[in-house]
Amino acid sequence: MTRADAAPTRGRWAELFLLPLPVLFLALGMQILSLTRPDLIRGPAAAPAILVAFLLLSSHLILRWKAPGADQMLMPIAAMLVAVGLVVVGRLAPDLASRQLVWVCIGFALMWGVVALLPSVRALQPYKYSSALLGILLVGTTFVFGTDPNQSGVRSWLALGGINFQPSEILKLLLVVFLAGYLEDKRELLTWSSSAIGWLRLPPLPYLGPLMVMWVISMSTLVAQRDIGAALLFFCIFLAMLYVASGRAAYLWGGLAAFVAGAFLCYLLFPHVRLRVEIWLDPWSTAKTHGYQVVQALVALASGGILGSGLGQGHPGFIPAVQTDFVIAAIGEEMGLAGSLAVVALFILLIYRGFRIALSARDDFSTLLATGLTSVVGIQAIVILAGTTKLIPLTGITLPFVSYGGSSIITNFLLMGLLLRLSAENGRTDEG
Amino acid sequence: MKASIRRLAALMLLAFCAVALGLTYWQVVRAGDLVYSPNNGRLAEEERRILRGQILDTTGRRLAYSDPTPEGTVRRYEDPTLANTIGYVSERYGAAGLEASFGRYLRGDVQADPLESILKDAIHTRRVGDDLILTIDPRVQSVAARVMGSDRGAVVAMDPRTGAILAMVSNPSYDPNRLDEDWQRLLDDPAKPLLNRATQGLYTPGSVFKIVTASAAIDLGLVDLNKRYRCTEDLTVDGFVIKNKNHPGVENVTFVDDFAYSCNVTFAKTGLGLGFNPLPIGDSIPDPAPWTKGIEESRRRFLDYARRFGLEAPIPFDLPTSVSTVGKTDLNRVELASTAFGQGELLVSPLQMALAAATIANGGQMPQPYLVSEVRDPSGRVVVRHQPQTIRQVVSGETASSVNRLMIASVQEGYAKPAGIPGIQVAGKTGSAEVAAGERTHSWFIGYAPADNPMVAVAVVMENKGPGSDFATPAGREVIRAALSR
Repeated sequence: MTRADAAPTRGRWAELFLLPLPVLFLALGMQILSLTRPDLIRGPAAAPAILVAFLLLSSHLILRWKAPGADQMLMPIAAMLVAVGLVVVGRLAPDLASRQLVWVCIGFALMWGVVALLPSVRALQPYKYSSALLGILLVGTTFVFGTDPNQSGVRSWLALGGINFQPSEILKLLLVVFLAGYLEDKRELLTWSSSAIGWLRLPPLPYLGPLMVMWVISMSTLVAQRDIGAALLFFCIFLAMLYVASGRAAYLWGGLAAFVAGAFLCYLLFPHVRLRVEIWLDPWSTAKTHGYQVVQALVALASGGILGSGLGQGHPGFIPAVQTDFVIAAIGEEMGLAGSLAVVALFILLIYRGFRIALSARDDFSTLLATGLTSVVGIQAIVILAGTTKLIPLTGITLPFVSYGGSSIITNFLLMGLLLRLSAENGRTDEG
Repeated sequence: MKASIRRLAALMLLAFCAVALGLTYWQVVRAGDLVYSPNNGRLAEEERRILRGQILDTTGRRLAYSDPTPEGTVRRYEDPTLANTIGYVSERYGAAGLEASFGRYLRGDVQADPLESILKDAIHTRRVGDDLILTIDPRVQSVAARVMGSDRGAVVAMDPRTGAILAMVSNPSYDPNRLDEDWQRLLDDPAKPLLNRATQGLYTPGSVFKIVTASAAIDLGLVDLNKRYRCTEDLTVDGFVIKNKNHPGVENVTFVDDFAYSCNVTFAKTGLGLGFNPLPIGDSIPDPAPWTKGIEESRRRFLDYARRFGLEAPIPFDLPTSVSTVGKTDLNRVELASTAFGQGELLVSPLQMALAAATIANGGQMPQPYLVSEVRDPSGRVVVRHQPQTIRQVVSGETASSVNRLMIASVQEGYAKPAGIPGIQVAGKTGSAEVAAGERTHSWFIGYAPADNPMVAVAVVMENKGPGSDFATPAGREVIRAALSR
């Protein structure tokens, strides 16, 4: 479409036409499951699709009313991922399916809240330090009161009245808000340098200091909690935003080099990190013990082949923690390469829309915020997908929108709300 | 900032492409070897989900069936005397016997209706495998197992008109219901209970092989069965002495008498003389004997008839079979002479010898043996029905009726007398195969009845048991009697 079509697109017709697709997928998926594996279905099979249809229609109407200029592709893409997630969780952990549905409802409500109630994304800018403080507080609380409900060796959960919450999820948003605000302030200073170590020219230390402190705090606390996946994620988000703010690749490569060095240090210092790396290098020799999870995920992918075994007809149950960390292996097994590549394509589309929003943002804070939020989704997806396919060592994090997990779902819907709000403020309507 | 955002986006796109390549690698390139790796529990899981088909005998009695218990499906076997025929299926030890060779049907991989099979796969209802209906007759089988007792060896009983196997015993056997507990002991047992002796055991046949030599000589038109000749002398071939010890006690005999009394000298001469006309048998053959000039033609003809009877080639059958063999093709005179009366380097399976008897019983046509008469799907529809087939015309009908005459005489007046059943004409041949110095002979019997209209053919072998007449022959008689009184 061209700019001339801008006026009719204010009706958000593209979004409206796309929204039935995820509903259809969900309805069809649950219907197939109810036929092939009636033992897995709790309650009426059509219920999730009807509920999601209602949620999507409400979202569409709210967006029309409160943010008519918001990106029209974001919602359908995210909804498709959510639909895939609901089907997969329904198949893998039927007892958790209704809880996942509740989390999705809460997620939608929060997204509506952000879209409808947040006057402007810029309003977040002054809260950058509060955001950082809240983040540190959360991590600190977890450090002291953290629990490990899944016996995964990661004490990164907070128990609140019977509900376990993973603060590192919401921490990602706080980190992005803080970095966007802070980097906007200090951007000018970061781009010129006053000191140099060899070929690497450094910005003035007083300005880089707070960033370093933030990084060290988040990294060390997370390493202390043994949550390597989150640590990697945080660091990459930080690097991505720093790179965009400064425009200097040296930060990116320097940062990655620092990370590899840090990772090597961790490899030497922590046995659990060493184990992860050894499993990554050769899971086959310990296929029955430490390498079991990785090997089973790869065997699941292999047995899926190109078209998959069919929904409900594979055996993804062989993979431990399949519904959180290894959803892609289950998708690959039952929906084949066709299904797993489709999920990758959805993520590519999602980050494409996210970066578009960043590019068309009107001010630096919005640009940085959009970049950060998009990076959160993109990097997290890459880290877990690459981990599952043995491209990098495996770290236990969720696949955004798809994996089971309340904290993850809520965070991603909040993130979606912010991106929608951002794109609405850009004043540009969707151009397809 | 915009340029760096674009670069960051490109970097992420690159990473996603790497992930896509990674997925393709595991799901396509490595799919083959990972799916069949021992780390994949799916194959066993898949097998567990299938309700394997039943195996029934000819009366509809269950021989093997799957029993769904709360702990999972258990395969149960009703008749341990059929263990080596039906085999087993085990998660740990794989499958054997019919459980292996008909696994595709028992698992339900083959459907009568391809459309239905696609539908069933799509909906993925619990798959139920097809049933096998065997030709095994429980009355014959139980008698065959009883007469073998605890002796090592095998019994094969078949309908010579169709090739249907009525009974098949391989001793010692095992209990397929206790495979997990017994496996190591079964492997270590020197008696090799896991070997199906009926189809895969290879034995020196001894005199039962004279049927093949006699058939060759008669089919070539070299023998006049009514002609009397003197046969008293030992035979020396290249310094190897064959004793003339089996004879009816009279000096002038016919070929029929020599067969009935299993005269090794006459059969050595028959083998050596197959290339000459008339057949140089009896004491009055010229000196030097014609075969001293050369045995090329005799050897060629002998090997030709051995092959016609099915040696040197696998028997087409529902179970794996061992190839019966003459041992070597460049037989010298001594080897040809001893092979012709069933020794030498001959090695044959009991199924092979049952087929030889069935061939004579069936007018010279060798029937193709089979165990599975029908495959039926769970709703009772026939998926496969076996059509009786002939392997080949081994000898002419006239030859077969002449050999029939030899075998009747063997039961009526010769060494196979213990095979006689009052009121029924039984045809047979005994064998006492010498295996090693100091060891008892293998006791053999092959035969069929009624001789004018054969309905059952049998082969019995008992390892290191003694003379054929004393052990295998009465055992064969009981099997024949059981088969005829069905």
